[in-house]
Amino acid sequence: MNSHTITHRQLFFLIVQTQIGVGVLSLPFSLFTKAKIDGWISLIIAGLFIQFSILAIWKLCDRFPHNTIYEILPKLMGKNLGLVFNFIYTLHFAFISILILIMYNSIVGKWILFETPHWVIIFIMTAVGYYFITSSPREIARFFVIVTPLLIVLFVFILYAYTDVHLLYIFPVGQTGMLTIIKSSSDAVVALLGFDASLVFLAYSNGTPAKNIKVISFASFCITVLYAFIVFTTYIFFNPAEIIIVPEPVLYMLKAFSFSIIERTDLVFLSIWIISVATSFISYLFIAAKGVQTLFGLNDHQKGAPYVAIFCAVIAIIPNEKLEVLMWNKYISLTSLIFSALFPIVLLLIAVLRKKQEKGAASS
Amino acid sequence: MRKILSLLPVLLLLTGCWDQAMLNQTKLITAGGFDYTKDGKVLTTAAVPQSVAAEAGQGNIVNQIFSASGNTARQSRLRLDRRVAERLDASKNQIILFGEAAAKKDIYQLLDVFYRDPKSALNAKLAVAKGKASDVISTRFEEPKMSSGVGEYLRDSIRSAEESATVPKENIQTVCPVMFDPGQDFALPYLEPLKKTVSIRGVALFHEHKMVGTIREPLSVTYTMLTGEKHTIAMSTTKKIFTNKKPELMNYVTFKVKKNKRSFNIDVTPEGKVSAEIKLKMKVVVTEYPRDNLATPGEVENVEKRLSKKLTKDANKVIQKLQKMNSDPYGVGRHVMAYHYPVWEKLNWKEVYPKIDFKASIDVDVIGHGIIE
Amino acid sequence: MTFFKKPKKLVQTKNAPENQDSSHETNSQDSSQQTHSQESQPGGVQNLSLNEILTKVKEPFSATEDLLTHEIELPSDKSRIALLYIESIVDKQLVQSMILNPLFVTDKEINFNSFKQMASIDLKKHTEMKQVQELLLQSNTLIFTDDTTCFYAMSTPVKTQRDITEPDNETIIRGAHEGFIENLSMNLALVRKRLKTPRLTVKYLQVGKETHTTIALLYVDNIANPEHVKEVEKRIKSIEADAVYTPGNIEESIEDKPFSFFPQMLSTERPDRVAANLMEGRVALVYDTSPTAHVMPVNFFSFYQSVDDYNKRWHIGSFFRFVRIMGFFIAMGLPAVYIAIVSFHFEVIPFGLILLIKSSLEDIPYPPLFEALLMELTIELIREASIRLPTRIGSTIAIVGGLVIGDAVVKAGLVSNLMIIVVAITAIAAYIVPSNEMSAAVRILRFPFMVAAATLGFLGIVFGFLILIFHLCKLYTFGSPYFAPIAPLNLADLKDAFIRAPFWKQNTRPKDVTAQKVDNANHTRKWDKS
Repeated sequence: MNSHTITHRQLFFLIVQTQIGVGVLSLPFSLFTKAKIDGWISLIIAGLFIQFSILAIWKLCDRFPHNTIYEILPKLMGKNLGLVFNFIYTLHFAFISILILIMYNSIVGKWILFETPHWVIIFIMTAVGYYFITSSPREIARFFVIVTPLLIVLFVFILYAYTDVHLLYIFPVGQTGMLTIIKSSSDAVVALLGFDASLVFLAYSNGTPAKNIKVISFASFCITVLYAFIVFTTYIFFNPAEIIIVPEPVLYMLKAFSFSIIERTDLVFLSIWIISVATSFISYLFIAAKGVQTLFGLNDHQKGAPYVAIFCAVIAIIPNEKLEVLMWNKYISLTSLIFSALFPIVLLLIAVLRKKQEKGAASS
Repeated sequence: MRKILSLLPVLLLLTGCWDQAMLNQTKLITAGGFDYTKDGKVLTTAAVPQSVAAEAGQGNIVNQIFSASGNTARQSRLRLDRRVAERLDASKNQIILFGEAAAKKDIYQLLDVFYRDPKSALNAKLAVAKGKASDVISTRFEEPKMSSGVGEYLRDSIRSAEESATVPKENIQTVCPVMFDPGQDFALPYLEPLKKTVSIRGVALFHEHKMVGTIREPLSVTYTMLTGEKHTIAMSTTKKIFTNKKPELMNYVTFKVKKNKRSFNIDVTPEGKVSAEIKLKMKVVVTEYPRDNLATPGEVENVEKRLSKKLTKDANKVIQKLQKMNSDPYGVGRHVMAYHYPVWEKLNWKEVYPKIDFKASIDVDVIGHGIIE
Repeated sequence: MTFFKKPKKLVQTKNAPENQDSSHETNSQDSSQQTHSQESQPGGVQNLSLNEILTKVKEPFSATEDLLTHEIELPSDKSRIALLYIESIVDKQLVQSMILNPLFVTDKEINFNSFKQMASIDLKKHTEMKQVQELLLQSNTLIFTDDTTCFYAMSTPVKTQRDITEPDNETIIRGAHEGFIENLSMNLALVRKRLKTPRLTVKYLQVGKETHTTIALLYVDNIANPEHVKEVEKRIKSIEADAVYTPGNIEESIEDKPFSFFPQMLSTERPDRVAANLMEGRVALVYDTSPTAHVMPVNFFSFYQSVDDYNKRWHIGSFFRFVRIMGFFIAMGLPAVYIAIVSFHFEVIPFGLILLIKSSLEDIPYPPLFEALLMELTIELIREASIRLPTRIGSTIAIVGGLVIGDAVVKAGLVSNLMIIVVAITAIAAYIVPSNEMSAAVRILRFPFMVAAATLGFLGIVFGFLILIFHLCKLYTFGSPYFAPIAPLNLADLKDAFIRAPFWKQNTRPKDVTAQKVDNANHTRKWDKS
């Protein structure tokens, strides 16, 4: 494992890139359907909430340094139950990968490649994902660092919306009531998923625990702020009555912009966005492959990688109607909420109560 | 296994290119127009520029005009498609025109296609044509350069009108949020086809999705000023500020707005009575003043005072018109909704708006007068 | 040739004293079948007679007629000595003046011992019979005496080297105009001239069982990472081949990822480039018989650095460095982007341009991919043709290629004007890379990108770049990351990657080289501080 460690800075980029994914495009819409124009408040609440999950994940991993979730679970729950949970977690992460594929496919199919068969769009992403996960986290992290500046490009594009915004649309604040706002923050948590990748990647970090928590927490904070900015921008760009009929407000907004050297900025945005999707997909695929490695006792995750990739691609091809996609989205989001955001807290409680701790954890 | 897997992408090459849309096999619509036929069907007119010579850059552009009717906008478009040999593509559309009759019905129904289609051009201009849109599009304009089509010509005309602040800047997308807003309306350029040119006559005001009236140029400049538009390249207008000078020419002053600051006050009394006031503070440069005596501070003040008075009068005229038409392009309703939501919920804005106390005042400050006094 | 596989027994039997004519004639024909290795010889020179020794020495050489033996009886003490050399690679004038003249022409009575003292610098004493072959092949003249326990060697190479000229493929505007030539000692001299440090270490290595190609491994002892030196040495020593002809052979044998399109060693003909890299802590291989030197480990950006950058004002150097790196993306992506735009996403073209583009494309019968492939291949054809042809005809090719094809193909309506522009820009962008190998890699790689763009539009290009960039991230050369200042990101090292920071700012060695000394003690503007 030594040759595969990542620095805490790389961990930051890993988490950032995992968090930014499919969510960016549809988050304003999905929040609006629940919390109306106060969706951005829900998002900030969700951002605060995930900080607790992150703290729990970090505490948990801190008790078992250099162990991934798959190694922690058996130690925490005993061999058999641990195996069951390992299986569940592997499946869970595989399904997040699948959800990413499904959403990516539906957006690409809707916005740029109308006629291209779905299996091609999914397959090409899976092939790229497979190529990436045949290497170590260190190389993946290096790659994530390189592509991060592209986020600035996305940010600048969105900033351009401020040439035509109606600040008044955001008022009155708190129109929907606090309860609805808090309730709908669960949707926002789903969009902010990606911090759960630290369940595995923390094991590879060679930074001190204090640095690690700072980095993960800061990564999530950044993303929360970025998302809040995006949501806020779309809410003042579109009329509240309009957002309801625009499922991808960010793209729709960019579609209207044109510059003298390039028109249809949404196509450029989409191309860059695909990289962000790919990075999230790669992270989760890697985590799922790690799970398969633990389940079958393989020497390295590369052996299981092709099967995981093919599994994800095949499942992702199944839903092809919009409503089916929504259903998958709903269920996988729900399980994500449980296993990624809530369950780590439970696991930490178990660890604390049963006083499970790896030897030497305190010293490291 | 790995070897085989890594070879799989090669398979993709065998499958082909599904989404290819060759540029040279499409016909680009640059202007589209909507009218209703007598039996209530949608009549779509499209202008397609077609180059005739092979040499790029020197080719003559010939406008081909197609039209077809259908029960909906999309149906008429599909029928249009069938009439044209190559694929019609609206992604480079520059302008959409509505015949006045069509605009008075409902423009959203016609625009739905554009909002829904991922390839459509959301930055196309919108305009209302006096008479029929199809007439404007099929006019043989004198001015278009050989290399541009009718779409480009119309777009440029509107753009220059925007620059002189005769009409507000709008396109398909910017209109959309306003169209959905119960507390705000919008205005579009109003065109009139002359024999061989087209002239921008002012703005067509909308209420919800329907056109409700027009404000003619030069009053439309005052309208644009009241939107709080900061300043455009040539936001200038000529006003008559004296009545007694001879010759008649001496009564006028022309100025260009350098800075335009708007303060918008909405007052809602506890009883739910809404009153609104727009205050503009303009810094202007005099660009024409035949009397030529702006040397003394007194004279400048005089001009400022008279201009302010005249402009305020114009502004109130505009507001009166708007209230009469029940069009709320300045978003008084939006302000009420944002800051006084409980009141807003009780009001039936459609009925309240024409009756509210709505005033405007314009304060002019001359900051320059060219290179002579 | 089965050098080793001959059973030793055979050697022994053939070694039997078969008395031969030991005059100027070479070995008899029947010994031509024999192939011996020096290893089969007993360790030291045995107590044999001079004739026997000579026979034995000549044995491994087949019936080559340029191996000459001179037997001389010294007039002074009547002792016999024998000179042995390969005629074709020995400067006979030198033999005459350095050996024969001192022995005969001088008035004094001279014996071999006094000669030995006279020529003690050039004359080296050897006792190992093993070395005979090697020495002979390295243009030595061997001197055997009656004392058969040892022999002497004098280096008498024939001077066949060309002048030191500027390498044609790496010309620069300002800076030294010296290039390596086909002579190892001269090449080393060119490097040494620039690095007058005792720490510059040269290690000679030989590869090719038959060709005995000499390679000099150069590094600066107190800067270079010993791991790298060891690794390079190990890899070169592990090469087992009868013949290693070109530096390319070595390169392919020791590079990390032979299937990668990217060059993993910097090959250069410029001694100043080698010297600068050595001082950064890298290792260089300099070859005999080839003007190319290899530098390793290198990163991607090394290929975009030119000596010229360091002779310009730093802003200008930086600007051109940046232009070159933009060139990488243009050369790789421009045709693909063009194809993607005109056949998938023409919506992104601004309105003012679209009618222009459309009218130029209007009557082209072929899909853009085919158009692009056609033109790219044509350019490669022209390039290839103009390299092979002598310069005078080369200009004809340029005219035929540039004017006739460029213009006629448009007039004929096969290819659009715009495609010509795209292809031309691409070609120029590909050739601005200071390294030939990298330029070739870029030119090859654009083809998959074009195909990807024609299949999936922008999506294809994005995935192409994902794979490409990740490949670069995954690539290691001799244990150091290839895409170094970027992946892993090292902000400090970007100063010599994307831009060329001023000399007084470049006070650390690149981190990816893992040099022993990171600080290069650049404090050149100390006078400014006080």
